[in-house]
Amino acid sequence: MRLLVRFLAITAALLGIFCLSLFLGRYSVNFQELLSSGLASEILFNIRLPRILAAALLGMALAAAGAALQSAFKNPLVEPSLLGVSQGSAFGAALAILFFVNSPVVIEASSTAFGLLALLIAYLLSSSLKYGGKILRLVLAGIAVSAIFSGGVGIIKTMADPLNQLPALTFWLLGGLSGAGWGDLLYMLPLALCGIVALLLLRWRINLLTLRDDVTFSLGTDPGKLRALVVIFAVLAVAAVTSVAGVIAWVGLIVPHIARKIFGADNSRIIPASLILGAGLMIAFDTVARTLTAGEIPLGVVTSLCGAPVFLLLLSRGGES
Amino acid sequence: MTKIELRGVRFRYRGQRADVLKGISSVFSQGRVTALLGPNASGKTTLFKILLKVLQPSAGSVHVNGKEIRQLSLAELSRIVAWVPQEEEPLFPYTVHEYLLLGRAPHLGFFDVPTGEDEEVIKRVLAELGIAKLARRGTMSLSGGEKRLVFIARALVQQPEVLILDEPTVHLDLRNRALVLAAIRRAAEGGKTVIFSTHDVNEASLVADEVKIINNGRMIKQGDPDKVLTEEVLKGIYGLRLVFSRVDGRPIAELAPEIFRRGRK
Repeated sequence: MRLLVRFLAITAALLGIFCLSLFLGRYSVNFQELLSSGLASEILFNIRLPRILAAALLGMALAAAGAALQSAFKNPLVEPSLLGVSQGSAFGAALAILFFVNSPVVIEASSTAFGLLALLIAYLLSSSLKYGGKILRLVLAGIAVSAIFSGGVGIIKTMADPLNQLPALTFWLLGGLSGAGWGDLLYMLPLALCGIVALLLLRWRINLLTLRDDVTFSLGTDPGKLRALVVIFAVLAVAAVTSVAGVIAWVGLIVPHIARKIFGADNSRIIPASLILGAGLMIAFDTVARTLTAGEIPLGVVTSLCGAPVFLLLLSRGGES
Repeated sequence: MTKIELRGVRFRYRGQRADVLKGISSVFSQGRVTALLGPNASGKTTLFKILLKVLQPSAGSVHVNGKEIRQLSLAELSRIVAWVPQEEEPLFPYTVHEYLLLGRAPHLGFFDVPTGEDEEVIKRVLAELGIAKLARRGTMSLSGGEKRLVFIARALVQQPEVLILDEPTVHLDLRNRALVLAAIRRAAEGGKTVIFSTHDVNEASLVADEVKIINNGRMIKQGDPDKVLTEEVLKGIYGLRLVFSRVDGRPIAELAPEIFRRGRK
């Protein structure tokens, strides 16, 4: 019962942020204008609404993937960008921009493929490293893979045509939703939704991955296969949103931790809670990004600036028990 | 009735030259407690992993309820055999209740979430073990003895026919040892086949219906505690002189006092 109240509370908060964000912006809109002015409704429904929905989807995908990956890798510090997924996706997108600058579907596909590839490399590397424990090995492998792919992005930048491709690439890499419209939302929706729904369906079973592998076996589930499945769906969701929004760090890490503070350890609550909290938080961050200054602050900058202190705060508030 | 039968089971880890298990044949019967005794690195853990289908034997076969283990899916096997490791630290601080629900996984579909029926099983198991008051506690705040009982509860929630425990009383004080061993006996009296490993010869003698001694990958002796736990056999394994007595008609072995006297000088 108490849990239901908490779920209702965060859902109400999400709706509040959503409505507030809709009416905030450089062109201020109030209800009367909405009814009378064509420009106001044009801004609201064709510029702000798709962007807010895109932010919500971005937050949902990153947060749910973060929660699932933390369990899958038995490591509460994992987030998509730490494992090289985001840099891999960035490389895939950059590569695609170099050759097919005007075809978003190719960019998205390439981004997804390289995100998955980066994760695979990090995972294989970590099991062959002979230094430190499981957690440290994975982090080290992820750092190395991220570095290699961001190096690759650097090379692509020097090769890009400075008039056409480079601006598109730079814009993409800064990370953000400026200019994101209905089209962008629609083309990241299928893959992102596929990943999110799969993680939502697996929400309880993901808990089995937080046990010892031999215990997971003894409970009738092959941990290797389940882990692979969870990782694939998480990466699908992340790569889909990254292909539109660029590399957005920290949200995938902190949202699951906030969710655990409120809802305990069970992933059957953490995954849905992360979806709601991730959406709300990302809408808030994106609203800050587009309203705080006269220009636009890149969203990735806002999430890092706000996310890192929140993370420290969470950790300094003692254990989760 | 035969529950589990091993026929000439051999196992070798990849890249190693020698077999860890060198042709083990053995039978575990229903409703009996079997103690698996053996020095460190004798092959006990490998044997358990084969019974759990974590590892596949390099040669020989394992039969569970008359069926070859290869023909059973992991899910089918998990409804028959449950596993209690020595130590288990879940990544996140689940409550005992949440942790025990994970034991219902073998009975749930891939996308299912536990229901009220599963909660009933948990209530029953907690009551049987006398730890109902732990349900809302966090698994990370439990004492060593409470933890061990919760591990056993997680396995019992699986409603298995066979219970395998890895050194279930290690690091426990006398009182908690008594609780764990009583739970093991009760499970066997309820019809379950119980297999546990131990380094404590006397625990094996007093609690088990049958003792099996594994050494260097071979099952060197199996049968009645009285017949297996003899001076000759134990000296052969540990290379130590032991002093024997009897409690409740069963053999009790202690290190001969001269071993310590020699050390004091």
